Amino acid sequence: MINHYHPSRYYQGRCLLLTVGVAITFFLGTVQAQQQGGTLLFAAESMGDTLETGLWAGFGSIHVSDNIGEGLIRSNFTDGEPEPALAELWTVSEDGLTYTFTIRSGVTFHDGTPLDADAVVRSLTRMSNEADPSYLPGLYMEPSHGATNWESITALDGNTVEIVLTQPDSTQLHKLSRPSAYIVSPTALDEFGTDIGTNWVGAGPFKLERFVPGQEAVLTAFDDYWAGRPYLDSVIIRGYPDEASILAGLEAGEINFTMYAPFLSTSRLQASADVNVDIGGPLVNTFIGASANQEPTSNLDIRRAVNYAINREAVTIVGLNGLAETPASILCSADLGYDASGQTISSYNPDLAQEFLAASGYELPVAVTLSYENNRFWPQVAELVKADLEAVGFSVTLEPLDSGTFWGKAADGTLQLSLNQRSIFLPDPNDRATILHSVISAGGQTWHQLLPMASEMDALLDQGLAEQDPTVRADIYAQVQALALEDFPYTYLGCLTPPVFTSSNVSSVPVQAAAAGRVVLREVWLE
Amino acid sequence: MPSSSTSIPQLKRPQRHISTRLAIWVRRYNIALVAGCIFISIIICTLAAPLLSPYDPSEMVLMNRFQPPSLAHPFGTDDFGRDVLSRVLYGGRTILLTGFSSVTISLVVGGSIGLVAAYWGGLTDDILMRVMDIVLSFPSVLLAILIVAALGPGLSNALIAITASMIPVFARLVRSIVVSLVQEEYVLAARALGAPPNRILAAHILPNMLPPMIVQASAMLAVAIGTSTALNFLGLGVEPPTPDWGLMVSDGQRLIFDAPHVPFFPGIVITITVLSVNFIGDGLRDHLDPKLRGLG
Repeated sequence: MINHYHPSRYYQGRCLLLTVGVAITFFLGTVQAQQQGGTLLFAAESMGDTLETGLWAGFGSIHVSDNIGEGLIRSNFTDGEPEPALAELWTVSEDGLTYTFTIRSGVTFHDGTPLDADAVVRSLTRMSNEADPSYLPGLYMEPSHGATNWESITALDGNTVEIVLTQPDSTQLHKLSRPSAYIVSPTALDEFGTDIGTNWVGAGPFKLERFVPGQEAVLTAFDDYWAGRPYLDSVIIRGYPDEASILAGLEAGEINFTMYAPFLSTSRLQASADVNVDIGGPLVNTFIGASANQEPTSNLDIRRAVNYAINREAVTIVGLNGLAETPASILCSADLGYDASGQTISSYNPDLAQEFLAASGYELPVAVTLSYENNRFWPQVAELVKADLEAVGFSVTLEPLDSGTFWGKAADGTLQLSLNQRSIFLPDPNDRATILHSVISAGGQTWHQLLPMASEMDALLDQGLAEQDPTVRADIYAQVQALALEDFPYTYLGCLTPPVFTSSNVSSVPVQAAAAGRVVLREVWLE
Repeated sequence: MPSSSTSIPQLKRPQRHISTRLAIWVRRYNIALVAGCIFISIIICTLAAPLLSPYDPSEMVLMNRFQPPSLAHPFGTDDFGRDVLSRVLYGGRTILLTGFSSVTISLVVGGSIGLVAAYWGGLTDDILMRVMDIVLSFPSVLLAILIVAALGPGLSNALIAITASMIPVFARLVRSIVVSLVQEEYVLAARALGAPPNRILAAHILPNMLPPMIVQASAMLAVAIGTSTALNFLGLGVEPPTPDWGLMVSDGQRLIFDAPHVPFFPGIVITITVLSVNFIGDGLRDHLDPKLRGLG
């Protein structure tokens, strides 16, 4: 029997073989692609002196905490939803006041201590518990995970924690993803006491191998991490003195991951084969805070004049290298309830600025001090702001400060005009707008509790928190934005779309979270 | 018998033509002369900045950001679109002002302290010199930073800081010179003849102090310029957007990979200025030091 050659069958067979081959190759490739191992060097703008999550010690410390710590909940910065972490399940009562969490079983801290409900309760309340050996006067971060709104927190059994709120809070789940809500080993709290800040023991994907305050932290993969060992063997998170060093390290292939390379170099790095640049969403609002507690910025006309004196286009082009969206008010375009109409008020109108300055009753030039952190793009922004303000009749003294001094002065309420940003640590508009709340964010840069809008703003923000319906919430936050532009505690400069820089061998980059300042490296791997 | 007077033969110095003397002088001090010309040119350019600058040094033209060096902008433009040449021309004013002022003031104040300590001696000398020793024990830049940190940033405070850090140097120098000079025979003779102290100081000691003090002042001018630049680089001196070499290098360091011309030109001008002042100091030392004058 002669087997006749049939071209279509021949090709069918070949195609089948090819398909199977490609599938096998792809499968093997995928398996091989997610490689275990390697050390990733992350460059931070600075490294704090402590990892104590009850304090703000700068972004370097936060990046370490985000990788060695974990809370009951994670926030997904891409879809804005809360995800299970150390709590595998939760329920919320109909009135929105009672949250019941089921703690994931079989989880251990880095020191081997098992995670249970008691550890969770202790960790979430230790900052205000004077009896706890880790208690330090002045730990002020408990409100950020909502603890000041808790009527009670109880370990119902070994694996169940119940939190009862005083007022409903639609952001409560997200708030439990903040670093201050990371659960810390009770054994470590007993062992290290008030030194826990330099000996942090959490349940995150990496454990703290070495921490050199002010310099760097070395993390190693936690083999028993509940979601599986991370791909990277180790991570070094190092504070760098300046952007130029970060850029040099990035281009030399020494640095693998950073958000702190000069914005100016973004275009050039985008063209580089050795560096990947991902642009995040508009997650960071930049602004000038004007203190209502200091002359002359306590005067509304002065604050109005500041608002209209600033050329946002120049700030965006020069200061932020084009990586910003036009500002409207306290929210940015990706936020629920964003109202673009505020752009007409947050705009450049030097004539109007001069009118308000004249109406203020102050003799020209009006002397003001502009304080800012002397790092990243702030010096350039400060120089532009100074030029704009002086063009309409202000006399500006620039006060560049290191981070610690800046935040110290902010805490003391002694800043007059100051540059700052609000990174959205939680994917919720309240996280950005809460800085306008006169009780939650009293004092600080603006002292907005002294402003006429304070009580109305507080009521709106409380309403926004309590409301569960997104449509109603959107309307509330639209009102918040409008009200924020009546008293001008802030002059909005631009909604930053931060670039995330990685070396070309870094895969699975969490762009949106990193752009928000929350870098978790558990799924990152090196080719 | 008439006394015969023996005449001592006088050696007649060879009379050289002025061009020959000039050539020898130029050959001996060629580096210092070139440095002097450069330094004088820098001073003239700085003083004449309003006439020489092609643009307003503070004018921001956003369309012109990061222009490389060209005919329109020989040193290029910075991230604000400002002309770097204009800023370099204006930028020397603060540094040279700080440098010359601090050296002059510290020379007068430090010299006076050294003079008093050496001439009066005893407990006065001990107290003054121990205070100077304490100040000298700090590195000058560190001391200047400490003083500015205490007083706050700004040009006037930077001037105070640099001056304060240099006073002990002059005090120590003058004291050591005066201590040796008061033992000289002509000073002892003047004292024996009853000359008052102020006359001895003015007529006999001060003129002999000048050469080493001039040499030291030229060396300290380089130090003062360097310290002033360092303070401005660290943001402890003048405030932006005032054009200043140190501040320009500080601002420009982040542009080193993207627009290297921005930090390069002020950086090179600082280097040339400090080097030229140092070479001038070397030349002055060679010329004024009798031990070195015949060499070379």
